[in-house]
Amino acid sequence: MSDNAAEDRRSRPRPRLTQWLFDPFTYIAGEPALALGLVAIVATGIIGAVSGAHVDGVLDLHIGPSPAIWVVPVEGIIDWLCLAIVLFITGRLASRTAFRAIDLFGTQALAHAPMLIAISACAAPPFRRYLGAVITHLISSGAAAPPSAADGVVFMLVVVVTVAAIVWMVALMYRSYALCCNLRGARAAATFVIGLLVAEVLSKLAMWPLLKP
Amino acid sequence: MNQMKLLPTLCPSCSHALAIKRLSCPQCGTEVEGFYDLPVLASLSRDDQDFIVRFVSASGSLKEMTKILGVSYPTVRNRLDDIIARLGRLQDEREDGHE
Repeated sequence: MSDNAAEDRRSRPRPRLTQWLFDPFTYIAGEPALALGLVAIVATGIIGAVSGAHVDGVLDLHIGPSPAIWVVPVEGIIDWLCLAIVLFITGRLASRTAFRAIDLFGTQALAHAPMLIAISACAAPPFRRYLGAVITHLISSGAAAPPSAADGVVFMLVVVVTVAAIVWMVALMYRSYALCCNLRGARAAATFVIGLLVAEVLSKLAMWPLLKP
Repeated sequence: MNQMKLLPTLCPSCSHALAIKRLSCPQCGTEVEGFYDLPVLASLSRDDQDFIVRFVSASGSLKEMTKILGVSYPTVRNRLDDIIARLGRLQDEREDGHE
């Protein structure tokens, strides 16, 4: 058996880069995914707290004042738990087969990793300068100096990167749900969308005490 | 070295499940003729049969299968669930065919 197992390991095809990017949970789930995911969520939160960006909802990324260092990591944990708990319930209702909670919670945590890219991009000084200049321009009804063109280019790049990262995150959340709960097709898509919307509302309610002035 | 031929399980004309009509002894040439159903496991695809052989060799451990196949636990679990569902359908079809 051990010789066969070693032979199997040598002969199995290596996963392609696209598989690692868009379907990583075929290869990683459970405890390793949970550990990596929690590191990504906390790192996202720390960068957000330092740079004044909030993940104040499952699908949200907003720029605001820098809070205490623990606030944004806690926002990330709330986002992850709300979605994982709701999808665990919808998965139990929709799936015909048994599945492990650790796989769903672990892969959902790791699915948040693209938010680390998005929040890092939002910390770029030209992006913040341009955003600040636009807000000042709007508040002062055009009296303030217009922002520079170079900052504008960076601003647009950050917007594109942020939107792409959030789309990637949602795609990973869906792949995690479909794989861990063994769901496919319309059944998987419909219950995921319902779960995502419920989790978004729940996360907003859960972090209300954190964000109220 | 001769390459093992794949056992056909479906009729190439109408896609109905094939049955065994003749068996022969490779040593003495004795032939038995009749009408025998293929075992349910033999009706699965080659990939599914390989998976089952490895699964049994791994003492039915899904965790060991994750190491052998280099994939995650839910991937192995889903593969097994899909095979269980296919076996259930094959058995149902067979029971319907015998009624």
